[in-house]
Formats: sequence, structure tokens, C-alpha cells
Amino acid sequence: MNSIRELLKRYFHILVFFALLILAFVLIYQNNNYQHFVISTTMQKITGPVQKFANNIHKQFRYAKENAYLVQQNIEFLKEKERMFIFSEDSVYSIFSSTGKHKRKMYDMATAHVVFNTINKTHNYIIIDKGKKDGITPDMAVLSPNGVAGVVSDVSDNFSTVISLLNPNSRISARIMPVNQIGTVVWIGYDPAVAQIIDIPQHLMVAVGDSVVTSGYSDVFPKDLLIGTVMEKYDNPNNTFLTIKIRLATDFRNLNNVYLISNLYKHELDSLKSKFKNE
Amino acid sequence: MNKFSVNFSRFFVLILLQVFVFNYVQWFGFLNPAVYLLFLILLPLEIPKSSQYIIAFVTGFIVDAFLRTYGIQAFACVLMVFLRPYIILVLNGLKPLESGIIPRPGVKDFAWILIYTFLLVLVQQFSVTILETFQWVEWWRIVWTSALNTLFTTFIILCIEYVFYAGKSK
Repeated sequence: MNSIRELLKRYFHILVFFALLILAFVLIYQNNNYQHFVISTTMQKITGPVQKFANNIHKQFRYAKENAYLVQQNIEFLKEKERMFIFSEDSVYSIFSSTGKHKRKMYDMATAHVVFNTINKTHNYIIIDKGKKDGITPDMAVLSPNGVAGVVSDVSDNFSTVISLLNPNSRISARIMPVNQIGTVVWIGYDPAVAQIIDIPQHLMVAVGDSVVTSGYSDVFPKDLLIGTVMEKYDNPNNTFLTIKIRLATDFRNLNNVYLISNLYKHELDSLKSKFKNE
Repeated sequence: MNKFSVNFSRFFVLILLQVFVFNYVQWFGFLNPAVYLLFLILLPLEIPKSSQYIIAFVTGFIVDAFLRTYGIQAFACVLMVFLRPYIILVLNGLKPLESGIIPRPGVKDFAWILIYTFLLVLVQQFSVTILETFQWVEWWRIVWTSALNTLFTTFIILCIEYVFYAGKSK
């Protein structure tokens, strides 16, 4: 203890010396523009590569969060797309309204994560991590970032089952784009990337590479959502329809984030339909 | 007059001289004598070292405040005062320091005073020039600017010393 005190007493002036030197240097750094500039740029040269390296590592951990933000942002953009609204610009109402295009929101969007997904069965299902509590209802449309993925069938409190496009029970009304012909997309089994579109008459000029989009005639899907592109087509000798194989836009092997679209007027449409059926 | 008031008045007068006269000497754009260093050169060695450093810092900082170069002179002065005992040690032939050493004319001979003053001013001016230039690309400029400033400052300091202390012997 004594020796430490002795040592301190003896070298105290050196501590004072260095403290004053550092103080002077701090003053130089803070008060002289030129020196400040030189020091900070030199420091940046040294710390830049280190920071870049550290940032690269940190980025790996931030991807999940950033991804969530991006999905959220995507939804905000997708909600504003034209197909999400009903336009009544050519109705009598809009002629008298001063605001120009009169539009009503028809669809709302949500996002979910896939927790379970099959592609190799004959009846494939997807399970997502949102359910009744999050406002998911049956018959909501499910989209992947690339295209249509399926339709919600059953809803529990926290999860929902989605009938994937890769399921013979899913029949989606579709339209082949340049020729504007309505057909139905069905999955023919085996290949999770290929489906068939039926009910296209033989006389139509369908080319390979034409896009197949949703028709908008069902109350599930808004119109003009990409389903896939025509992969091959051939005449069917048995009937008058073309057999068209399409390559699905959605990559079912890598399904993670999905978007859910709900029709805000579904009740109205359902009640109308039920009256129609009763007659 | 006791030692404190002598030193304090020397401090006061030299700072005033520096601020009002020698800071305005800017011959050839770079020749700027730091005459106030005489105060630190003559600072009694009996003062505790840490106090010496603080005095040096304050002195340098006051001159800095007038030159608007906060920290540069202070840094150099602290460094100079720190090296002072070691320079005296070398000049005395590496013999242990005698306690009552007074580094001024009349006590020491002219050669001793000249080298002592020159080395201290060199240390101070060299660090000031480095801190002002602040890049190694112009190292030759640092060298000759500080060398010329050192010679000039040493000359003026010796003149002042010999004017005031020539007749006194201790």
C-alpha cells in the first residue's frame, strides 16, 4: 500500500503531463477546423473498413426485421393499386361529383408467414400463422410475392389453412391475357410448377409465353393478378378445347411471406348469391 | 521582491509583449517569434513538476486564445516544460540535478544558456509547426519553418536575457 502511494507520488507529474497533453489535443480537435477535418478524415480511413466489416455481420441479424418492414411497405403500396378499388368514373354519379374519379375501396390486405407447406401430395395445403384473431376469414385470397398462391379454407384462432393452388379442389377463374379469354386454372398433379388452364376454345390464337391472370369474376381475387405464363399448348382430339399448360408464377418450394386479400363487400355479394341459388 | 512576484510580473510582461508586439511580427509569412517562452525557460525548477506543467498549459492557452489556435501552443509548451529537466540533465553531463540550479545568464555560461534555450525553443516550435501544418506531406516545410523560427526566437530571447541579467551574478 505504501509503495503504491510512493509510486503515485513519484510519477504523479507524468499523469498530469499526459492529461494536459490530451486536453490540449482535444482543444485542438474541437476548435481548429482544419485539424478537426484532418483528424476526422484520417479516423474515417482507419475505422471505415472495420465498420463495414462489422456492419456486414450485423446485417445478417437485421434481415428478419428489415424483411418485416419491407413486407409492411409492400402491403401499403399494394393496397393503393387500382385493382383494389371499384371505380365509378363512368357512372352518372361521377359526372356530378366534382372530385373526378370516384372510387371505393373494395379489397384490404394483410400479411402472414407460412408455417407449413406441402408440394408433393395430391392435395396440398399451406398453413399460415394468422387466424380468426387477426381477422382472417375463409375465402380470402392468398398471394405470394410472385403471384397467386391459394385460397383460405379453414380458420382457427391463431392459424389458417390455405388450399394451395397445387390442389385439385382449387379452381381459379383466369384470363389469358392478349386474347382475353376466360378459363379455369387447375392443377394436374406431380409438378409443383405446372398447372393447366381449361375451357379455352381451340380457335383462339394462344401463344407460348402469354400471361395468365385472375379474371376478377370471382369475389375472392381482384382482377389482373399474375397466376403464370403459358408453357405449352396443344389441340385436344377429343373435344373442342385447347389443352394449355402454364408455368405457375409462384415458387411453391420457397414460400415464406404471403399476402392475404379480403373482399370488403363479401357479405353483400354472398347474400345476393344465396338469393340467386334459392330461386 | 520575492520569487513569486518576480515570476508573475515576468509572465505578465512577456505575455503582453507577445500579444501586442511579437504576434504581429510575420516576416516572410512564417517568421513569428515566440518570445513568451522566456517565462517558461526561466521558470524556477524547484516548483513541483505537475504545477510546472499546469503553468505551461495556462501560458500556452492564453497565447492560443489571442492567436485563435486553441490547444496548439498549450500542447507545445507542456511538452517543452516536460523535457526541460532532461535537457538540463544532458547539458550537465548526465550528472544528477543539483537542487538550486537557475538557468539564467550570470549563473551559467553563454554556451550553456545558448544550447539550453535553443533546444527548448526547438522542441516547442517544432511541435507547434507540426500541429499547425498537420500533415506529413509537407515535412520539409515543417523542418525549415520550425528551424528558422527557432533561430529567430532564440536570438531575441538571448538578447532580452543578456540585456536584463548581464550584470547580475546570482
